[in-house]
Parts: sequence; structure tokens; C-alpha cells
Amino acid sequence: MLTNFKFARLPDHDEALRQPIRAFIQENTQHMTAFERARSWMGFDADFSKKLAQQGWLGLTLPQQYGGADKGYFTRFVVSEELLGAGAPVSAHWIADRQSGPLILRYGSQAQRDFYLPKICRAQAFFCIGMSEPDSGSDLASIRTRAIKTDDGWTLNGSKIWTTNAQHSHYMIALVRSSGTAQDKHKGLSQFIIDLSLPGITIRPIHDLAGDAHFSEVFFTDVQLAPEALIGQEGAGWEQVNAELAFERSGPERLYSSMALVECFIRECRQQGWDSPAIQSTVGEITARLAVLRAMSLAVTAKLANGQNPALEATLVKDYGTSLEQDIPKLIDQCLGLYPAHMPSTELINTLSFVSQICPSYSLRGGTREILRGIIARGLGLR
Amino acid sequence: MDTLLEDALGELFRHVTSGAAPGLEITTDQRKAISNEIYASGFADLLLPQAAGGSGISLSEAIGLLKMEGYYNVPIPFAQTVVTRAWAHAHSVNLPEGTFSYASSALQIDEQTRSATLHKAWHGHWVDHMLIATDQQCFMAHSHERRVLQTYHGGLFAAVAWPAQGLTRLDLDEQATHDLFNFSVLAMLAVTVGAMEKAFELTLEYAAQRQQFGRPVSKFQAVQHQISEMAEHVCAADMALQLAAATDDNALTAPASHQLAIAQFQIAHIADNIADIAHAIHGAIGISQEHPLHHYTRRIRECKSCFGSAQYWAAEIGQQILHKNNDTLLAVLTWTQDEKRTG
Repeated sequence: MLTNFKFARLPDHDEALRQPIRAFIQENTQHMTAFERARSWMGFDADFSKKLAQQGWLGLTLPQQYGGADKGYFTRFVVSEELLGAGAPVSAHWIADRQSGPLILRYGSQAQRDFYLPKICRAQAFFCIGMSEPDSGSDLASIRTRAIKTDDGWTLNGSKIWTTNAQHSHYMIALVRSSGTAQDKHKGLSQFIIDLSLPGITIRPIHDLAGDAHFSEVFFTDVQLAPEALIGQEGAGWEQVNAELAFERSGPERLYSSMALVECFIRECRQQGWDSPAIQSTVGEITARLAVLRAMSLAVTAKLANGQNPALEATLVKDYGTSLEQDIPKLIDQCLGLYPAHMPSTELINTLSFVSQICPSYSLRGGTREILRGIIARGLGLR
Repeated sequence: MDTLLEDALGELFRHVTSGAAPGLEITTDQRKAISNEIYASGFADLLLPQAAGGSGISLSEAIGLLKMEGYYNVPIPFAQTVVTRAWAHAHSVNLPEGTFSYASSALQIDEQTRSATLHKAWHGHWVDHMLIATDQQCFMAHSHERRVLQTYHGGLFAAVAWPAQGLTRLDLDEQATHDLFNFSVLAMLAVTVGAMEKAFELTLEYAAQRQQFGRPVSKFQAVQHQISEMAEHVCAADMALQLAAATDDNALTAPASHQLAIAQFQIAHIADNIADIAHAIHGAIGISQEHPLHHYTRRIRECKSCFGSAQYWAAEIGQQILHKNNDTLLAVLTWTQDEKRTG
């Protein structure tokens, strides 16, 4: 096999973090219903993120000199899975903590690190990621938003769309064209850190089918960027973005999106005394598939911790994980429907309805299923 | 993983399957010859401690070796024999020499004719000894008294019967019976995953080699995506197996029931998907007897539900979760190793 998953256990000292963070989450999310928890990493609560920061649980993998905890991937795994598994409202800091911070650490100048990283660790800088454009989704290299070099820096024109949290964020890290044309594909793309309070930026939230507005369309009209807005190498944006996406695909984010629904369902079965082979096998199937996927995700984490690059494995886990996340509402709906005499609570009905409607997005965000399967096929030597 | 052991066993399996085997017409004599050769190699004792003549490796390290029975389509129950010998050593059970197979539950005992019948016995038509567990009892069935009712196509399973005197009741405690079951399930899962990995390799090779419309079929996106999906299933099956085999470092500790149920579910759940995609990519040639694919897809399909189907195991897992405690599912998923053992 070209892909290689080796069973790994969480080290004891990382496991030791679990109970304190679980207790913290329990205390601070008591008021939340399953319906709210089901937003998973789309649930926004800046105060919650600030409280997490006060506990030292933001920027875990960043160096201490920037306010981080200098911890490794396993620590991050434990904290992430506790937050996501409980449906805590993490979206305010999530992208900064997971992607932007590590990106700035890796590609940023010393000045950029000194400026942004401490803010990220204190939950004072929320980030979004500007990738898709109205005419560029999966074909990301065809983007047209352009930064033109001037004497004072850069002038930015264009637009981004489906940008998660743009309306709540302080900064966007955007992939834009800095030279050449769309025909040049991957060449001539660069990443910029854009201060979203600058003149010339309009952010328009987009309402989704479930009634939420977690993503936005962002318009740039002659936005004047300072020279230091560029992050990393000019023209190396494509490589930088791909490194970032590999990171995005590797965590427990792709396991627990439907977890609030599952917990709600199990709680209700216990409370109402619903029990039958069909209910048992529904709960058992979800449990077993989650357990195996979690082991796969941990194997990816172990590779990262060993300094290896598990990009292919991470892609595979993401595709497999989103399939399960999307199967969960169907399995639960199928099971509930076997017993028309049972009356589920309004909370369960509401949560099931929400997850059923929003779950197609699980295999769209961060690379569609079709793109991921193409990446796996390339890894297997088929293309 | 001890690659030296893997290389040596791989070499042995390639050698023993290079003659008439593993064709469909393999005779009992040929199977016995292969069995004797593997026995003589000492590999049957690989899970025993070094002091007892074994290799001293752990169960999780041994998984790669147990899978090879399926991967090389070895026509004897090698994995079952290995785990049976480890189990017997752990519980101080005296067993005769020879190749072992195992079955649980579905033994029909007819008090009037004083005979016992088993309709799906793993290598039942020729294996030296069968251990048969039924409702807290465990029997050893002797080959010399055996009557073969039917050997199913492919020769993996047979229907067999024994007169009452052909069965010896073993005096085992509950733990020993339970451990034997868990070891046996793990052995069957390992063999099944080995066959899945081989079916995947055959599929990758075939897709790259078979030309249609002027190019290899692997260049078509519809084919690529099916193979990607197959890769996901095969990786998940292997991870499930590793999860079940992750006992402590003592190779004689049987797999824990909770993880084993998860593995058994996962592997049974995706088994047919794997076989179906392998056949879809191979086209008509994969249906022929001449092409080796059927050896592996037959193993996948016939072994996946041997000890209970996906739905059966799902219900077992779900029942535990619904009845046993009030933990959240997250708490169950993140049980540490020690908690799982008591769970």
C-alpha cells in the first residue's frame, strides 16, 4: 500500500490534559442546546475563545516566545477533539489557531510573527481564509483577484466568496494573483494578510440554507496594502496554500461535525427507554465507524509528530470522515422513522433537521470529495 | 514490525502456493503437505514466548504475519492455528499437534442419533482438529471420525458431521472459552484483511495495464474515484484490525471484546464494497476462474460474517453504550487503554 496507517496511542502527558479541558468545556457550554452545538466549528462565540486563551489553550503549537505553549500535535489533537466532540463554539479562533498561526510561523517574517502570533494566542486576532472566488471554486488556480505592486506596497482589486467568518474576523489571509494571468495557473499567485478594517473592503454575509450566516462575500476596491502585507515568497502562494490545506485536512475536524446530533440521539434513547436491535445497531455503527476513523486520524497525527508529511493519508481520512459525518443524520433519521409511535423531542428534531440540511457542506469545504479522490488517485499512481 | 519474520514467512508462503495450490482443485493431501511444511518451519508457534520456542513478538506485531494467509491465499488455516497454540499455552490446555480450525455456536447436536453437525466449518473437510464452542461448552472434534457432508466451492468451508464419540468436551473455564473466541475472531479478521489488500493490489495493477479507448482504464476519472474509495475502505479495515490487536505487549493476552467488536463491524461493513469495486474494475476477466481475483473476493465475502454480520456486531456495541453507563459517546471513544480493558 502506498498509504500507511500505523496504530498510535496518545502519550500519557497529552491524555492528562483531557479531563481539565473537558471540565472547562462542560462548565462553559452548559447553556448550549444540541441544536447550537451542532454548528461545531462554525459556532461563533468570541468570549468563549477569550476564556480558552486565558487558560492557555490557544496557540498550543506556537512557541512560548509568542505566547504559545510549544506543545506538539498530540496535545492539539486532544484539545481539538474535546472542543469539537462537545460542539463548543470555537469558530472565532479556530482558523487562526489551526491554520493562520502555523502559516505565519512558517512563512512569516520576524516582524509578522511578532505582530500576529501573540494576538492569536490571546484571542485578539481572528482570521479568515480567502480562497474561493465567484468563478473559482475547485479550480482554485484560476482566481482573478489581483494585487498590483506600487511604490507604497500593493493595490488590491477583486472579490472572495464563501469565506467563513469574514464578517467576524480581523484579518484575512488571501490567495491572490500578483503577476501573470489566469492562464499561468499556479504561477504568479501570492498570499497576503489583509487587515479587514482597511478602506475599500466590503463584507456581505451570505445566508445559508439553514438560516445561518457563517460565510461571506468580500469585495476589494483599490485596497492599499503595505509592503509587509505579503506573507512568504511572492509567487509561492500555491505551494504555501497546499501546505496549509494538508494541515487543515489532518485533524479531528473531519470526525465530529455531526457529534452533537449523535449525543442528543443517544441521550434521548436512554431517557425515553428506546431500545431495540435497530436502535442498538444504529448507535453501534456510528460508534464503531467513529472509533476506526479516530484511530486513522491519530495515525496521521503521529506521522506529523514524527516530522513526516502525511498529506495523502490526511486527504484519505478527510474524505472517509466526511462520508461518515454525512451518513450520521441519515442513519439516525432511518432509525427514528422505524418507530412512528415514538415522539422525539423538539431539540432532537431540530438538530436532525439542521445537520441533515447542512451536511452536504462537509464534503465541500476545504476541498470537495471529487478533488480529494483525485488527490488520492494521484498518490496511488493512477494519474 | 519484524520485517525479517515477514520476509521469511512471505518467502515460505510464496513457495508453498507456487505448485498446484492455490488452485481450486487442491487435494487434501496437498493441503496436508503444505500444512506439514509450515509446521516444520516453526511459524505456527510465532506468538509463543521465546522461552517456549516462539518468536516473542506481540499480537500487534504478529498481525502482519497473520494477514499473509489471506494475502497469499494459503490453503490452510494458518492464522487460526497460530492463535490457538498461543491460547492453549496461555491457559495450559494440552493440544495435539496439527492444524486447527474453529467454529462457534452453530453446532447442531442431535441427541437421538448422538451426532453433531456443523454447516459452515472453516476448512472443515480436511483440517486436523476443530475446536467448536457452543453455549459455554467447548469441544474438540477429531478428524478420523469426521463425515464430510459437502465441501463448498472454493474449499474454504465445508459442512461436516461427527458421531458423539468424535467430539471431546474440553474442560475450560469461562475466561478460556471467551479468550479462544476473541483470538479466533481476530485470526479470521486478519486473514480477511490480507485478502482485501491483495484484491486492492490486483485492482491497481489491472487498472494500469488494461487498455480501453486507447489508454489504460486507470486514466478515467470514474475508475480513479472508485479505486480511491476502495483504498479508503482497505485502510479502514486494516486500521480496525490494528485497533483490535493493540493489546498489551504480552502476545498471550486475548484481544479485548470492545475493540474486537468495532473491528469486526468495520471489516464486515465495508467488505462487500471492496470486493464489488475490485470486480467492477476487473470487468469480465475477474469473473473467470482463470484470473486469481476470485480467490481473494471469495475470502472477503465468505469470511466477513463468519462470527456475526456487521449489523449483529453493531447491535452488540450499541447495546453496551445504551445500557452500560451514562457516558457521552465522546467519553466512550476516548477511553484510554486501561479503561477499555475493564469496559
